[in-house]
Amino acid sequence: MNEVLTFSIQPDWHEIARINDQTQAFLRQTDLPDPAIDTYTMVICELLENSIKYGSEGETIDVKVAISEAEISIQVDNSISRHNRPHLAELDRTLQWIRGVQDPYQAYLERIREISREPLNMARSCLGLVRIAYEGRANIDFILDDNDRLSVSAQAPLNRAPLNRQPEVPQ
Amino acid sequence: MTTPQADNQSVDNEQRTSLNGRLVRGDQSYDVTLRYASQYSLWLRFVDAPAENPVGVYDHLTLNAETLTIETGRCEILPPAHDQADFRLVALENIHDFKKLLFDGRVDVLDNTARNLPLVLSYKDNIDPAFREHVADIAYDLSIYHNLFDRLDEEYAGEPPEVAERIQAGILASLGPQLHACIDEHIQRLESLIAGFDGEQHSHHGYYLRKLIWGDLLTAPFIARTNLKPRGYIGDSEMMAMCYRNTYEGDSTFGKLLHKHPVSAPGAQAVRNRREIIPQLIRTQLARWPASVEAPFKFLSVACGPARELADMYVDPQDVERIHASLLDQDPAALYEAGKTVESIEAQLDGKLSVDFIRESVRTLLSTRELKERWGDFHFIYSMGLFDYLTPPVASAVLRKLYALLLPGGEMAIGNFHECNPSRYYMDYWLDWPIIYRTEESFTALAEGLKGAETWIEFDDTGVQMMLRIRKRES
Repeated sequence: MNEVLTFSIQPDWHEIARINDQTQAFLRQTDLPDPAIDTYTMVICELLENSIKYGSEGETIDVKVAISEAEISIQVDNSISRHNRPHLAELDRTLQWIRGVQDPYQAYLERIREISREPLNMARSCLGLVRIAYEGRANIDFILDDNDRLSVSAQAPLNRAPLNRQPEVPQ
Repeated sequence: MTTPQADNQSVDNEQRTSLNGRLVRGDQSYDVTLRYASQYSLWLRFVDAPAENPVGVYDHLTLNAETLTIETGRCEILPPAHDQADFRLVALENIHDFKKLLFDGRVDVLDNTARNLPLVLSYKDNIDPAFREHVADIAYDLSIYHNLFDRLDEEYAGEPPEVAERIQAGILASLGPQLHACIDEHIQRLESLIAGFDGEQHSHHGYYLRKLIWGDLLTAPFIARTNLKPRGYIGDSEMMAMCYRNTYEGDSTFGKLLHKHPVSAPGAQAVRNRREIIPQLIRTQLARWPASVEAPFKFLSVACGPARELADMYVDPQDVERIHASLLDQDPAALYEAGKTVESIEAQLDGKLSVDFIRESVRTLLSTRELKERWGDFHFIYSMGLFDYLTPPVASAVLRKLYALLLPGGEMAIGNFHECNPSRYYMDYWLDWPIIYRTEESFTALAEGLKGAETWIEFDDTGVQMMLRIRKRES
């Protein structure tokens, strides 16, 4: 099994639903079980939502999904505007926290605790990334390339079924 | 039980407008107005006639805050104080922090984490029986040793400090090896028990182990730090410093022994080895490049931490003038410690080192062009505690950026723990210190596509610390 899906989208919230369907259709062509298809669709959509939220307006977002026997690798690239650069520091901190614990669910709980201490008008949570780590059991990382394009990648081994459950998020 | 302290921070209640709310008890509901009373209570006044027997427990309160509606669960109305007209309301469920809500616009619920308890509690349902038995054995053994050493500590607690110090040193030397051997046995057994586990099983079993010996783990400063991660990330400069010191640290004999065990493990020895290897490499490089004040030998340390290796790098006063160091780390505390290292070398050599301190994360490094403009090129670049945390695509990208900063003929040394690290599961399960292990092949693969790069792998004495060595072709 060696499958690759690549596509580009405009940073438009309306695209998310279409991408969701397109990704589902692609993953259904593989021999991944249904829960895994749902999970990795969620991973892709979470990464895309982040790209739209923090990317440069009007700049294309590129997505690459590669599936091999051993792993699934998802990469989302987008340009990032100067005024969103400070967000990268928070992204960096969050990812280091997630990656620094053996159990991603503990990172998830910790992030929820942090969010509860944030002002309501700060619409930034990075909770989606923790979901990717916890539900998708994926290693997330990112890098800013020479052309100010942000590349966020999530890699997950495929030797086991990923979790497909969502812990309750406090309202 | 700790008695919760009253919230004494004064708040000007006159400045706050009242909020509207609705209290429900059975099939009765009452409109109320509420004002801030304390962090977890509100002053309450009934809009119309109060309920008959208003004091007591209600089913819930709906509170209309400025931008959202808050629901508590059961709540209780306390009688007014003798000089007050208002009742006091305390939530018994969904216990909101009213100070954060009313003054900062933040929602924080005291009992929120309990919502996730079922999921965390259910971890234990999936614990392998043999592993469960293994953890019980660990917990039992640690508790026996813990009690023994605490009792001994109490026995000589009244002795003069110089006497107590020597007694403790004697106990550490005579009885310590027994505890360490006991931990070694458990760690050896662990590896066979978890063979074949997938990622989720590792997560749950590791969490289960740590929770059952949590109290013991926290007595050891090193293990407490790796588990609690006070700077928000693993492998911070203080953890490295503890590895370098490799001493008994802690408030009790038991804590000291438990601390000493991981900082003596092969993984920690590999960290100490780095400190010796890097200065040797630098000295070798120095011999390759004629350096002067006008054209100093330039090296870059990426994720430098406390940069202790510098102490063995600058060996004579000439080095002060012919070496320029660039020290990069994301953590200001690490750079501060690196600054202290530099200061001590300056004092020792009686000269001012030429050093750039760069606070930057490798993930958000500027473009190569900007980096070159700012820092120039380097004869030697090394990074020892970083790539263990980078996924392959990011590690490759970082490597490319660093390689671009290398002068023709320049070299790099990049460290990564090999997957055969005997401390691997100890680090994962006891220390909550997961890293990305690599093989020679996967490590070398990161350098694929680097133009004019000659690559090879080196190891330290433990075989744990692998180094990807890269040399850039002269032209």
